[in-house]
Amino acid sequence: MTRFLRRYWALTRKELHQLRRAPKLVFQLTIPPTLLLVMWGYALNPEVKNLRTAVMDADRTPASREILAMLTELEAFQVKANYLSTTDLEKAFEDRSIDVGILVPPGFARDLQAGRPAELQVIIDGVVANSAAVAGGYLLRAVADHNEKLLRRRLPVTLEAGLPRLGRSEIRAIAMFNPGMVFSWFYVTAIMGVVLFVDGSLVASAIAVREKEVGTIEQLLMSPAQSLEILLAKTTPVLSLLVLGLMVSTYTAHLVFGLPLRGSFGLYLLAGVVAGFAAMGLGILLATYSSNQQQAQLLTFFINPFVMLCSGAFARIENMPRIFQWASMIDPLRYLVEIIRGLTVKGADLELLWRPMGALTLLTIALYGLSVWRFRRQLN
Amino acid sequence: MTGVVIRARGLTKVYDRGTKQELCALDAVDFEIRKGEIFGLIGADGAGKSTCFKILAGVLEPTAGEVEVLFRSPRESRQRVGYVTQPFSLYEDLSVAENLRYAAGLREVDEEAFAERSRRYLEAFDMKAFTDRLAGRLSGGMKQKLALSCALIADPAVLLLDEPTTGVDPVSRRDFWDALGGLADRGMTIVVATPYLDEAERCTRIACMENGKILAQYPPAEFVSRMALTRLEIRTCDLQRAEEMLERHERDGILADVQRFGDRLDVLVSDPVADRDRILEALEAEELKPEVLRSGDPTLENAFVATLRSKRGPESHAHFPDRATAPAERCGELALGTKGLVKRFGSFTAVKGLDLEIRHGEIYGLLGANGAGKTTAIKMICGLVQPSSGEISLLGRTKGFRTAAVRSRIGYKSQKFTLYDDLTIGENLDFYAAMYDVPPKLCRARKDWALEVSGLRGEEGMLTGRLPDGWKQRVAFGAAVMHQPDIVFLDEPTSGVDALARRAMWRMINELADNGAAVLVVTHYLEEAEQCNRIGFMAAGDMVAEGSPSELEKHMPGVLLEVRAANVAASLGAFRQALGRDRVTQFGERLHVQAPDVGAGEREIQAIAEAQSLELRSIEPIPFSLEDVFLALIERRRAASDKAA
Repeated sequence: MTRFLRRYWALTRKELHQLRRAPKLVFQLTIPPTLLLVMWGYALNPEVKNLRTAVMDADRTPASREILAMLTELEAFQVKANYLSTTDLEKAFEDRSIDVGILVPPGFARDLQAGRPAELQVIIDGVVANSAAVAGGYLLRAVADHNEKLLRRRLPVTLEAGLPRLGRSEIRAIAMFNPGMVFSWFYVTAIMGVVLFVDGSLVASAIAVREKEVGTIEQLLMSPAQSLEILLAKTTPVLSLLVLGLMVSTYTAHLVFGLPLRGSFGLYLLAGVVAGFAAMGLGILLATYSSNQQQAQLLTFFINPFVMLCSGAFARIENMPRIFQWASMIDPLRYLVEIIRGLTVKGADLELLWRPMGALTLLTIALYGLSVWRFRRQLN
Repeated sequence: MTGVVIRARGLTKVYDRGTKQELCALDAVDFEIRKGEIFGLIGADGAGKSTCFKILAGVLEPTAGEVEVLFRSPRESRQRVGYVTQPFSLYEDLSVAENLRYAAGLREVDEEAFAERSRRYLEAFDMKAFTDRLAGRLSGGMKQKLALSCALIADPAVLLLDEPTTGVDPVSRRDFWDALGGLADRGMTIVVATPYLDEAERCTRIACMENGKILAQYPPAEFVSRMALTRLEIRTCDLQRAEEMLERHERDGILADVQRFGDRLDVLVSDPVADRDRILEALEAEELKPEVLRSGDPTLENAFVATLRSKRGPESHAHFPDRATAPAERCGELALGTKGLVKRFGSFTAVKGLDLEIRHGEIYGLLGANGAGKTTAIKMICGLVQPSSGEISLLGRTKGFRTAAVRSRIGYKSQKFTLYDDLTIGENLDFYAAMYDVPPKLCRARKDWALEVSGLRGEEGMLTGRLPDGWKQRVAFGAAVMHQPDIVFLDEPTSGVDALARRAMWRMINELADNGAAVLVVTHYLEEAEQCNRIGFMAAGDMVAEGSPSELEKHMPGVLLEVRAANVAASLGAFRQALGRDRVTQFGERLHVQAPDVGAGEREIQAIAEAQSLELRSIEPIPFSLEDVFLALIERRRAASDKAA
């Protein structure tokens, strides 16, 4: 055991020395992931402002004017026109001169007075799906707020959202946890998982193939060190940096996008470490099939898009063709993203997350084990 | 003689001037090279040879001094200079013909001249059959001949060759040098760097370089004759004891030098009669049963060692800091063996049933050309490659020896670099010490020893990547044996290392063996093989011959005669025509002729000389080198397989 520790420490120290002389790598593992995350978060979710809005008040009552005033007060909606007929409203949509139409049907005030659900129609141009969804979210929240106010006066309002190409149920489902900020959180959590995985596999394949490229691999394999010791030592420093990067980006996401960490921090850290092992295992495995940096990088670049695609990080798995759904079952990134989203947005605990956690662990053992097995046989 | 073609005076090159990394690669070097000379630059890696070539080729400006090539600056003359660097001179994914055409295009050679020259050189270098083959598929020697053809296609007046034969096997090297000899005879001026001393002997003049300075420049024979010493080859029953005794005499100034080879001692003395008797007497008094095998001129290697020593002072004789207790008792026990070891890669059989036995205390040299299966064999024994069939025994075990415990008793230095460039020298040594479980309290002493024997004391904080390759080899060797292994594998241990450093390394290898280690050295460097107790020659996966160096020399039929003639070029042509190409080899101003026996050979040579009215200066029998033996064995094998086919 002491021998194992001494060799492990010697190997790790060697990797640390090498890492210390490659400050670029340290930088690359911690800073760009955070930058990437902020960029994606913003790029895909420009806070929705100044949607060109048309209103049509067919009720013409104080109640209808109140709700319209409340809604158009929001920064997201800028009133461009006030129509009197639905034909004009339809035409404005066809001309693409407006993005949102808010229609108060006749009888709105009457229904409110009678204690019946009063309906409000909102039409959003679904071509800009992201903005549409966000705008829909805003409206939902605004109406909910308004309802609360009215409830105190016992007068509820229902919002009927007419969203071309985006079902209303979908908005509601996501909106349950993430009102208004659906897409920034969705992408931010995706990026955190993807960066950990892609960076981990790229760096691992680079440092593993480097030994082969400069020829030190034979010397290393001839030494008393076991493959597992060698690879653990290679993994430790980079993994620490990867997990550090994950923490930095999580905190940044919290500051910039208000992403909460509602679940256990310990479980979050553990998931990062386990997934880091899987990513590095994949990188090392690919390196054993390559003879130089170039091949290793190309191979990793070839594999990673599949891993990303099947993971459901950017698209819902349920919407994918069956074959991708099956493939996603053996995609460690899928479980990592599931866990990250569970722990941040949903505030899930181990009871809810034991399945993805277990699947991730099994896949990690398989990948890492395979890479250890291949490492000694790669010269054959 | 004809005029001077290349002239350098006070040539100096300083890299990174004024920074912390300032490095003086050339330090006020003077030389003049005449038309038709083969001028050899000899020195370790980092001595300044490559810098010198780059300046002569006009790709690097000197910091100070004058340099003239063909009466103009190197830049202005570069259309008339051919330059072959060791790597990157060819496009491996172009065919032979395409490479030639590309080189011709760059040099603006007209179509007619291109056709004529490419035909001439492809014919002269025996490459006509391969014009469509990709350069990457050629053997090492063929690649070099193609690179040479590419340089020659523009018909240069000066040819610069920077280590053109490194990594090329002896057969191809001899071919290549025959081609160079022919070009020089036609008036081409050739400057060549080489790490091989047998190649140095084929130069007209050689310059011995170190630390950016030329220490001495003479024709090879003069290097030797200026020493005014006689070399005695002595065999005794206990080489180790005899060496220790004679080293004492060396320090007392009774003899000039003593060096141990595989099965003999080479002793240099100033008086061939009186000193010889004194040494024999002293050895007999110790009951070492001395026997003088041969006495003659020192070798070129002796001369280089003496030259380097005179500038550098005596080298350190650092012994291993802590010797294992009673190690020599194991000597003679079997350390490693193989039986019927076979490795197939697809339909190609790299190793065909290798039988090997190496005992503790023995230094075994595994020799062979590129692709003979040496490295595959060593990798199978080490467990890096799975054998297809056959048995291996290692340290008394035939099974279960792929464990950490067994590996910790093995020292291994692979052919490639085994150190981490991005670690300092000290960090590299610490790493290997910890990996091989060197007891922490011995670490400091062993590390100091490794630094001492690499000649790098006080440099442990230097990044390894900044060391020239030859120096890395020395540190890597130290790192590989720091844990006092029982079996040591060394794959090409001394390439890029100068004569003196190589000697120091072999002194350590001998010390390891004396302490009971079994040493397996893989090399295609034949001078190195003489240092081994036993040698095995491999060719095409087979063991062709095995034995001690002097036993192997007996494989050689006939004798070798060294002929000095007034007109070397004419004599070479005449002898080759009369005796056949493979019996005559040119070594600078001398010719080596193989003959069935001394008398018949001399008569044959005299007869040719008379018929062609050539003036001969001397004919002397000389011993065959291991290279001669190697080439003869390959030739015999080829003949046998031709017959079988």
